[in-house]
Amino acid sequence: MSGRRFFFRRNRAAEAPGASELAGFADYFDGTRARVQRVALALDPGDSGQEAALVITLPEGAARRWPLSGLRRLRDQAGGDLLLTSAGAPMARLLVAEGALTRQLRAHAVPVGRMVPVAGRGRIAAWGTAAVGSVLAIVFLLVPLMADQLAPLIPPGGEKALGDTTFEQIRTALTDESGRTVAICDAPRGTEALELMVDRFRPYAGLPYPLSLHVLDHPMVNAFALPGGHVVLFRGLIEAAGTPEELAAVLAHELGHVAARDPTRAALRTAGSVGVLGLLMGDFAGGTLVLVLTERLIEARYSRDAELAADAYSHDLLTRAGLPPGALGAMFERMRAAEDAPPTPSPHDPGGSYEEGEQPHGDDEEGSDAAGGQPIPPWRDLPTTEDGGSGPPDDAEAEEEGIFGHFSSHPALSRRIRAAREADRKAGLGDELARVPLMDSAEWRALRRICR
Amino acid sequence: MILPDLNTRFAGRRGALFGLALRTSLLTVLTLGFYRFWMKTRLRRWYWSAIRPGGHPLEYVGDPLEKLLGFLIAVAFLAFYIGVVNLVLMFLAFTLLGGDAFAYSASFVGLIPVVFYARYRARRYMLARTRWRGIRFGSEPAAWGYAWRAMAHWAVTILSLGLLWPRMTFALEKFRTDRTWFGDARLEQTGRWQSLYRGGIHAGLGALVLLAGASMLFLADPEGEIGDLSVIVIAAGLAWFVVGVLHYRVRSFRILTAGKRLVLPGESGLEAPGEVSVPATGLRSAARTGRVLRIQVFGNLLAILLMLLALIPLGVLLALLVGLAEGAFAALSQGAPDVLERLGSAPLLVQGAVGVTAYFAFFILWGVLRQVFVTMPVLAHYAETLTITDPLALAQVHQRGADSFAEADGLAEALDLGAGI
Repeated sequence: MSGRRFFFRRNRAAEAPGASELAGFADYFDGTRARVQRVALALDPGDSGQEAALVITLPEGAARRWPLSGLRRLRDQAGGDLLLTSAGAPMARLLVAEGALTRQLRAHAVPVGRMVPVAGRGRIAAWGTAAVGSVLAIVFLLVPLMADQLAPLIPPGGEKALGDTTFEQIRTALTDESGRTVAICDAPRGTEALELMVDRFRPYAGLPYPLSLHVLDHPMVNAFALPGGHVVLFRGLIEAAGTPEELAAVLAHELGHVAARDPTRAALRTAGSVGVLGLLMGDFAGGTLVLVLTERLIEARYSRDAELAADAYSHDLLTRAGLPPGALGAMFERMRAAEDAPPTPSPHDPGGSYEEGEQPHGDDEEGSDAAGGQPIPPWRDLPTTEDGGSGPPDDAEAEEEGIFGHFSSHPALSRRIRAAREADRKAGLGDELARVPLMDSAEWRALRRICR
Repeated sequence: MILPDLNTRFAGRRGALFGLALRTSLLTVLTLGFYRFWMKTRLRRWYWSAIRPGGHPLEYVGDPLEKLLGFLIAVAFLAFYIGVVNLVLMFLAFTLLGGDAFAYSASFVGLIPVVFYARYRARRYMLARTRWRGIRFGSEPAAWGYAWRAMAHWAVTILSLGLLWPRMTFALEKFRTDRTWFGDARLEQTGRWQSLYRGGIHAGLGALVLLAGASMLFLADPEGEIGDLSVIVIAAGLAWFVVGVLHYRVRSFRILTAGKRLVLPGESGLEAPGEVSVPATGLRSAARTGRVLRIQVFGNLLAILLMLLALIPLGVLLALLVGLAEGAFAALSQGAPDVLERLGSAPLLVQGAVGVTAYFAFFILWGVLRQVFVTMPVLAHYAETLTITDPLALAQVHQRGADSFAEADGLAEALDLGAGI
């Protein structure tokens, strides 16, 4: 566009004499009164003293000179005719009907988009900064701060209602292609086994409200807590867990979120920020935004601090309940292994090979050795633990990069695994033979079949 | 001297609009939405220039940069309102009531006055940037006055079960029109609100049939034959009602347009007795419901049809692309397995990119086709049936000062009102 404009400017002097036959009639609006004046047009090629100009002769005989260098035509006009104005008379308009004349004039007139001088770019930049700053401050500072302050003030009944609503929303969001809502798993024997786990924690958990634990029939290796004491485990997680203790460790972690009311904070935060983000996006891809936010809700991302606090809570809770805190680390290891593995031969494929192959610790091992009931967690072999932080640092960074990781927003797994091991060492339970197993292998098998 | 009435011509062609809408939509997507201010301005320029009362085009002189500025200002304030108010409402809802229905409705109700405010201001901006015969239109700043009146009229309309809807239509139109200027001449809405009932007759009858059908369904036992009958009655009532509402919109537009006249400065609006005065310039519309309905039905059908025709080759092309990418990765993996391991998720990325492209292609195409086959024809019909009566007084109209109005229609833009043009 600009190239063309330049071209015409360049050649105007050369063209002007040849275009002297330029003549005709047009409708003229002077920009001061709403009347139409039929005017005659002629081209004055100019001479040494005067610039080439379009001469407009008004009905009463007076003439206006529009220098060709200041001739402008309006852009994006419908119809073949030409609406012209002049840099020297920006309010006046000349409407030239389509014909030979418009073609000649089009070559002279520079197209213009802007007609009104508006606020300077500085003002736009200032308001742009203010808008971006306002949104960032609200979404990242004000809303989280208010959510933190307000969350503990909501009565348990209110939180329960919030959790019930959210739980249903999430189930709807997980609806598969064929339109089936994801099922709640409640096979009686599996539920009993799950109850064993909850009973083990109950005396020590210190929850503000009764716990409602759900298992959803979904292959995702994940678990999350919702406001009002809802904890949701996915079938994928139960299948991925190597031992009941590992599953219990994840449950303990989620109980940590429940005890700290993190889900309620997250819900309040979402309520505040969804609208703001929708505002920015406008009608541009509005629908996807809702989807993305729902997915974020499922991922139940809390802040880094909240995650570490829930980890610490789980270490403590597991220790009190006489279970190894290191199981959380072992579970994280499995998640990491599952992520690193190529997508197809996943060890916890939903189609599940555990049915035939059975769990790592088979029936024959049952009860023979209290410590052996728990296979030696793989992390025990890692040398980096005791040196504290000599582990490969890039590892931690790389994990956070992972887009498809289930816990990608969480603090680097390595650090959390290390913390779990540390807790395990402190608890000193790992080697104790007197530890009471969480459940026997029959119960564990029932739990793994809770979705049948 | 009496001049002949001025008829309006619509000079726009579908092809030109298609090109403009397609180009600007693509740019909007490529700039992550930023170009939409330019897109809207350019489309308005085009539409305005196509509408030609007396053969002379309207002119839109809005500036995309001021639209962007207005949007940014609106976001700066609205972000606070929406973020904090929604959060507090959600908190109150769960603290006091134990449910979130209250929060959503309160948040919605809280935005209603802002919506009316934004609408009035968007109209004011649009008028301030519209010219005809080189003369600016204008509107008086009265957005809050409009907002509370609109709220009150809506309340009355709802309380009267819709029976006083024409009263609201008339009163709000009169409020807006009486504050509208063309140059130094003011527009005035004359007439009575009761006359709008003529246009509402079909909507009313449709609503009655719908009501009858609903009560039949409610009273009938579910097994009886009357159940089937009531479904038919409800469907018929619904169709009647929808067409009736469209009819009301077209007819009330005609009635209200016929009631508008131009008041030159110095005129009181009342004719002095005995004085031979120039007849007031006014408007007349002959818009027809049948035509608008036909455009809506066939235009949308045509848009859907063309969309399908365009999406099939697009789908095939994208599928080929995915296949090609997968093939390339398979080839890569044979040469260097560790490369594949590194790029394990790359086919996923290709699929994702293709999916996003298809998603945007769908929305761009749908938007463009709707412009070409629905928005433009409807606008063309309203334009071509518009007449300026007794135009003699127009020559007396003088220019008015510019309305700087830097916030433009940013608030309406941010609230996503007035989609289309």
